Amino acid sequence: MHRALFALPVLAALTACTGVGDKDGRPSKDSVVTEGPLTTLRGSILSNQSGRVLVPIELTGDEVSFMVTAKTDDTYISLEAILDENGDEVVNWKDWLNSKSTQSLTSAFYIYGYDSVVNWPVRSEDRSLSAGTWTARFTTVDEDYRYVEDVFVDYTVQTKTDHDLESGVVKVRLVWAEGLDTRNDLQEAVAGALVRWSEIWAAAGLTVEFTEVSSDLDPELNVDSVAPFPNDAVDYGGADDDVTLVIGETINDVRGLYGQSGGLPGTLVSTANAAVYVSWLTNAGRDGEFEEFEVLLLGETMAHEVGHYLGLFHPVEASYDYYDALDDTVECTSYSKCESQLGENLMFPYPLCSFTDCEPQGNLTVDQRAVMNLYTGAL
Amino acid sequence: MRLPDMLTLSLLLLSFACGGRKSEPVDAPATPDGAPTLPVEGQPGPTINPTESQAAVHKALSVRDPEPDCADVSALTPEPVADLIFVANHADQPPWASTRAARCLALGHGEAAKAELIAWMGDPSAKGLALMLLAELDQLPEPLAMELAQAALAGPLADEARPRIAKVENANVRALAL
Repeated sequence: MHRALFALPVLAALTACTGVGDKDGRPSKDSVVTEGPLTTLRGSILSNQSGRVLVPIELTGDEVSFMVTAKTDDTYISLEAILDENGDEVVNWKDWLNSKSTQSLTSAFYIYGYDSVVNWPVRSEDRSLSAGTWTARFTTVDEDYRYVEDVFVDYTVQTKTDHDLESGVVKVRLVWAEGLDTRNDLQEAVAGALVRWSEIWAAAGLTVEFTEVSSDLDPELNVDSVAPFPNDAVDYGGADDDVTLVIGETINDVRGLYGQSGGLPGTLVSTANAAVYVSWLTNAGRDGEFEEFEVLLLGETMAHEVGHYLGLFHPVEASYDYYDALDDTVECTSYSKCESQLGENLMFPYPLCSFTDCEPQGNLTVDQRAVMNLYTGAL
Repeated sequence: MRLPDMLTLSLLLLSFACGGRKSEPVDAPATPDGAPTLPVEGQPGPTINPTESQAAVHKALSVRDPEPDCADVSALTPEPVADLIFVANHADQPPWASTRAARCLALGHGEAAKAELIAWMGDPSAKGLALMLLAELDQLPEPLAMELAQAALAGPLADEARPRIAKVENANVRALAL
């Protein structure tokens, strides 16, 4: 892979959002596009008097997963619950964000931006889908966490009918910040990293299909969860079935950060958080040049960060007291036990390194593979 | 879309799948403790023997995400300046440990570590550290930022430093690149 600007994925042009939900909180559906196993429906809605937003998810019974992306112009939004066709809650934020909880299921519950994304089911053990109208209930809140009514919310409901949860394809759109696409050293390093990434994800049955895009993004990437997504206006040819990975030199304000995922999970459509960001500089080490082992680690970095984007949490946080919600990643309680039991896992919070060597870190458990394959963008 | 040269690269990468070492000699140690031994031709590469506190700093800086707080890292050691310098100069892996150590030094211990920071600005083998510091110029006190920028512009990294200095917000620092 070198500096070529590859042809962009082609999807049918989507109708621009024109309707607005009514004052009673009823949604307006604006467009529906089906591409193979993926159906994308766009609509809009106003939050009701209690600050709730009820996004309908109409299922035929053939779907295996859905993703709902809800975004506002300038109001925080987060997921409160998902209700099945009978109106019964299948998941509620209170079960996961409380003082007793030590596990993370989805970042959709977190209030951190003007968009919220949920993929369901998250795990193979979660309530599977059935025909009827499901509901994703979001809340719109201000900076003081007070509910806000009459907030205009754009939503996108995506469903997939691909029943093969043992294998799939994830499309990744690699966006180069300005000038980086002409640097042969970076091109070669990233090409090698993509090989390592592909190798790791192959164990989950996932093939990564890459496209590349040049851009005029400042290499000092400005990542702001409440700012307009840098690509929002131009979108660099993004489609509704791909994941965006932006490569820059540094990440603004957190320059020691080597990579950042826009969500757990992240969305397939354009929002302020619709990308994974990677800093080449932080990954190139002291001399700023990519050695062979740094290329391998860059590949693991990419696989790790986009793994977050597909919904994977760290099996254990570096505090050794908070965990993912999967049964087959042990809940260890000390660094020695965690490193011993989970240190080779792709999603472990840090690589096991001496000053000169790191252990390969690419393992995925059965439950982690299931999360990845249930991601609606894994087709 | 599959990349056309994946197979070739895959074979290449398999040849060093377990990682490797940098071939360049390691700089002289900042302190007698944990001194690396210089490589001897035909022998394995340098061995780094960090002290307990240096190892703790290195481990803290190795976390993938979220990025560790520099104050928390400095609190791990009674000698944060010496230990951060050691990690910045000697930690090949993971690559972000050294660049993060340099950043923590500049932001938290800039005056105490000034000589080392300035030295990196003129050292091609520390280009990654230098570029990281250039990205932080607006976060540093102006006198230190000026000295670092001047050192970069006077040395072998000038061509790479100039466009980066030209983008900083501080007008006095930015003027150095014009």
